[in-house]
Amino acid sequence: MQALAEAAGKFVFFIGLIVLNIAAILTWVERKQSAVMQDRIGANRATIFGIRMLGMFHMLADMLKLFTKEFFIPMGARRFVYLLAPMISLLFALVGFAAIPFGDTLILGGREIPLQIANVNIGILYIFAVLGMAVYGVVLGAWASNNNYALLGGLRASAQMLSYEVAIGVSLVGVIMVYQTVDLMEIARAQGQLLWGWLPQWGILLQPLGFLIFMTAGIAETKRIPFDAPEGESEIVGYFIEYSGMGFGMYFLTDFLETILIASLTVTFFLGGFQVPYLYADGFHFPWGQAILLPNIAVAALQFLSFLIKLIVLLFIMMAIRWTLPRFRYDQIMHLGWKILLPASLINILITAVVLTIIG
Amino acid sequence: MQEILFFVLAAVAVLSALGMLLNKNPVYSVLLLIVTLFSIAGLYVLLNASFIAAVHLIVYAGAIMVLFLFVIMLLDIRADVEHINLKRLSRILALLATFIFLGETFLIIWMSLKGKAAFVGLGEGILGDVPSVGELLFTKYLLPFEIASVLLLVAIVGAIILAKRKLRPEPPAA
Amino acid sequence: MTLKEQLIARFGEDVTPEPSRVGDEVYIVHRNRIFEVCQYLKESTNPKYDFLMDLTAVDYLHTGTKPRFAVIYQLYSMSTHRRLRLKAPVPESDPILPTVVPLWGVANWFEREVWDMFGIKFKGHPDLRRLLMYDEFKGHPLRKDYPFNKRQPLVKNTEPYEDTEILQYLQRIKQDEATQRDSGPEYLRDFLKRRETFEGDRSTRSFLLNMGPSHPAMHGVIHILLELDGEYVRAADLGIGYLHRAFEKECEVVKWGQVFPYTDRLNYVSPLINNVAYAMAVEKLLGIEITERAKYIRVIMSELSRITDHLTCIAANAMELGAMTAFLYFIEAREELYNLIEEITGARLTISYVRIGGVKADFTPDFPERCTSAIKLVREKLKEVHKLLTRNRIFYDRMVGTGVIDKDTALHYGFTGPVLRSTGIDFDVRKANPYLVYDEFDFDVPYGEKGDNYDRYLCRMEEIEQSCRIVEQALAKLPGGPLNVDHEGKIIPAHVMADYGKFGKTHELLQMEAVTDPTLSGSNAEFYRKIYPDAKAVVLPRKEVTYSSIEGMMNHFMLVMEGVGIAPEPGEAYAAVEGANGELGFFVVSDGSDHAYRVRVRPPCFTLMSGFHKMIEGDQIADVIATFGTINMIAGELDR
Repeated sequence: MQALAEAAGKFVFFIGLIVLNIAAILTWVERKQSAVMQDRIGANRATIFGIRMLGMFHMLADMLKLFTKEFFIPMGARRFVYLLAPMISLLFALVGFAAIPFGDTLILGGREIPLQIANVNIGILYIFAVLGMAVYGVVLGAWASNNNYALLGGLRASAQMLSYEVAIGVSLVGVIMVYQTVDLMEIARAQGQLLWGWLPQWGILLQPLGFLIFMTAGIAETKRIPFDAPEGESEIVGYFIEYSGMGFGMYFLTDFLETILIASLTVTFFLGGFQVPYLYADGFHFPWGQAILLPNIAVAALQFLSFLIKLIVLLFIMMAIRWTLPRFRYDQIMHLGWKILLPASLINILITAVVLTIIG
Repeated sequence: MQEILFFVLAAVAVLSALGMLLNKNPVYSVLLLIVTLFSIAGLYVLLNASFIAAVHLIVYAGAIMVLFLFVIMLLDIRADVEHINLKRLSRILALLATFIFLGETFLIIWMSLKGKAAFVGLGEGILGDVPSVGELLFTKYLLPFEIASVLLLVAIVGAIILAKRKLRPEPPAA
Repeated sequence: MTLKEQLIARFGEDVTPEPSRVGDEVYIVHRNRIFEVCQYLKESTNPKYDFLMDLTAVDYLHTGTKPRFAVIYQLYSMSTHRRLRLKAPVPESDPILPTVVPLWGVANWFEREVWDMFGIKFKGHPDLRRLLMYDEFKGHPLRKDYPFNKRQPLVKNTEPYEDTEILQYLQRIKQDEATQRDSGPEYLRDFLKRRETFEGDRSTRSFLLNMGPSHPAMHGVIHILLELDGEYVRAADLGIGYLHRAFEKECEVVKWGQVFPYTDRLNYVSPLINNVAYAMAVEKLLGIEITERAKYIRVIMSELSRITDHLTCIAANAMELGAMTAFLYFIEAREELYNLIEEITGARLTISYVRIGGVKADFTPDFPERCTSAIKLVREKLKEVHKLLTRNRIFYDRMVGTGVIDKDTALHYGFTGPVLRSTGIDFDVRKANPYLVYDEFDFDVPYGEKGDNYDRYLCRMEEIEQSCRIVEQALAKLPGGPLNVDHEGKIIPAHVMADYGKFGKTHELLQMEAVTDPTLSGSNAEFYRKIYPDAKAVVLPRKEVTYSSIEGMMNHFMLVMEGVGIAPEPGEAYAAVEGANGELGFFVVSDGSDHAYRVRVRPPCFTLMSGFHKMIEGDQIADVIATFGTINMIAGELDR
């Protein structure tokens, strides 16, 4: 029972408090960052009693709008599936976060609490399974809408997500080989160790090619520019063309949640997860011998903060990419996935294997 | 706790499988099949085979069923629901498969009635994690593993050839 | 042998030259021989008139000319840059003549439009449906006996497009297989033929997708019916007319000078060029020459408009490909130009700036300075977008090799402007038939080689730079002197003549001969030596003059009064300028009254869209958007 309460607490903290809020803030960042990039003033019209807060209230306005808009079911739609699809989409975007470690162990009242909602020992496989399920929300919604544009979007989405799952999976094999585990917590912990006594053993240093492939395929998995062919707002409008109100809102939120999921996975696999260089369970131990001892609660807080900062920086970069590049065409996406990323990740495995064998 | 979970999952698996067979709309059939796959994955987890469970979901629910949906959505199902026209060979095969399945079921029931386990259990922990599965695959079951790989390769090549057949230039008219 | 001799030797009585008082080359052709004459002109004469610029009709009901209709063919010689007009009179009792579609693909839409507007049929036309009006429309609106204010219910049939036309057609075929198969519109026949071969194959079948009229990328309103094989476009049929505002009909009920606000709404991204083109056509009909300064101002404003047009086109194109940032960079530059235009004309979009005989207002004192800084900004943004897009791998891959059209097809479909130039033909009206003062500037005409989207993009980017050059040179050379041809002007003897006439000193006129600038209209310059003194006063006097002197007030009064005012002698004239998308031509007919008898605009988009299906067939859906973007269709001038 206590374990259940603990998991619920972590769930409320991490998903409810952190992830969903970041998703909401991301909708604002997307507008404001693009405004700065494009010499615009950007979102600043929504005010509460004259307070603008750089247009932050647009998040509230958006939410209010989406909640109060009519959820319209088009003629000829398959009602049940049409209602179910956005929920499936949102569900699988959320459950992925269960396996993300956002800190090491926190000791509260004598209990050791791992800062990870569900300690799945097959973490990477769990993530693959969740990413694989994400396509259902899209495909079913597209099919249920009874619209040719939506159907085209759904077909594009399913083909694209299937293809890039392969690239994601194969690119992570290198990570598994290096850290000898599929448990995300273990991977994050392993990155705290030092190489040659001074270099933190982060994934990006051990697996630079894997990092690039994972990032690219990850952005493709989120279906955002430049990989937004399933959406293609000016071409086919996308698989959610018929959705309005909160149905659209859920797809919209899923988009941002997936972005955060991919970013947190990248942080976990390649950017040291929650690790702060030279920070250990009892404090800092620098390679030149100096040590600063810290209480466990401070260490946990630092680790969580480090995870959050890495996540936000990565999200910012992903947004900048989104506003810089034009959109790929569907066949170019397929070409990139199967003919460039997949062979590259296979080569990555080969190189990793050779190096590991030589080092022993 | 475990038993309750087992019976719930088993009931869901059987019911959704029945629903899949009896439903006329192929898309709903696919959805029900996915539910079946999920409950079976749950059973795997109960058997401490979380690796199998995950792979099961990734491969079947995550990839194969998506392709099923893909194909069904491309077909004009509204018109073609009623006409399921099986060829003779498929009928014979279906019959054969039914008999094999019934035979296996009978064998299991008969063996357990006699007090013997029909199949040897794999024991705790052996299938549970990745290293043990990997080790088995590369030692004891190396040959079947390699044969399966070659078989898959052949299937991939075959699929490409079938799909690309139309792109070949037509032979010049005599 | 001159062309006249060649034609008469070949066709005898069936081709007769018509004298034109404005210097256009016009022949009247017997309607039954129009195809042969066109074929002869296209293939055998010297020079060859191988390009169909425009095809329209005029209803002479009120002028008393018999027979009632005439179909007008504006031909162009790509090698010698000469224009030729053919007129084929068509009687009301039997309004039919042979089609020229086999010679020029663009005639397909032109003839459909003539059928739609005038009810003139074309024998042998593959698909004579209505084009601009909807199928349920009764009557032919540009006929003179169709009241301009008559209303008709807009839509009778509320069924979706696919479910009516195609399904009804399928139904008919089912009922009567043998006889119906070959009837019906061509595109449906082809579609069914292809569908049959698919079904024989049983492996794939194409499906139809309605892109537009309500679609985010179909800026303006246009309907593309796509036949898709997966992601690939097998065939396409375009439906236009959703923005039809009866421009040509409305021009017939207002006075000559009141047409300008309507022209603003043709290509609303570069309205100044439309203004200039219309003014030039009417001035040609009137036989007046405008002042040097007005010419320079017209050139500067036209080029600024061209820059805004190209900026908008490239920006929208980039945005549709997902590159939102490039879009906003260009829009920022365009905004600066709009501010500039607003300062001079008083409006950003619907500017109505040009007047017959000049322009509405002179530049403000700080204009040259502001213009220079605006051009600097344009160049800056041009550089930034070059960095963002030109060598961006994704953008490059999306643009190269998509929407390809070759030289011959482009000429066949009457393409002009950047789209034609992208195929490798450097045809630009500003160079080929210099008008205003374009022959005084040093600028290049960029052209591509492959005719794909990337070439079109580069052409437009370079044209922005060239337009900047023209504006700079024009600003440097900008002459002083009066702005408009009015009774204070001493620049042009022809005009001085009118002034004297206005002040009652008519005895002096008899001794004078008007001499005009030979550059006014290229090949037709000699005409301007002949002046019609009573048509000289065309420009409203300045407000100060109107309010302070009786002459000015009378002058103003006479110009705006119903029944008097600007009234060119009866005649017909065609004048063309280089619009942002290609040749923008106005064909005006006067019956001697103060209202235009017929105003025909040759919109550059129209021909581009008539050949659009050739550019997208075989490409993917996503390429349709990219190609549509580089075409820069403006529904305002397409549908008129």
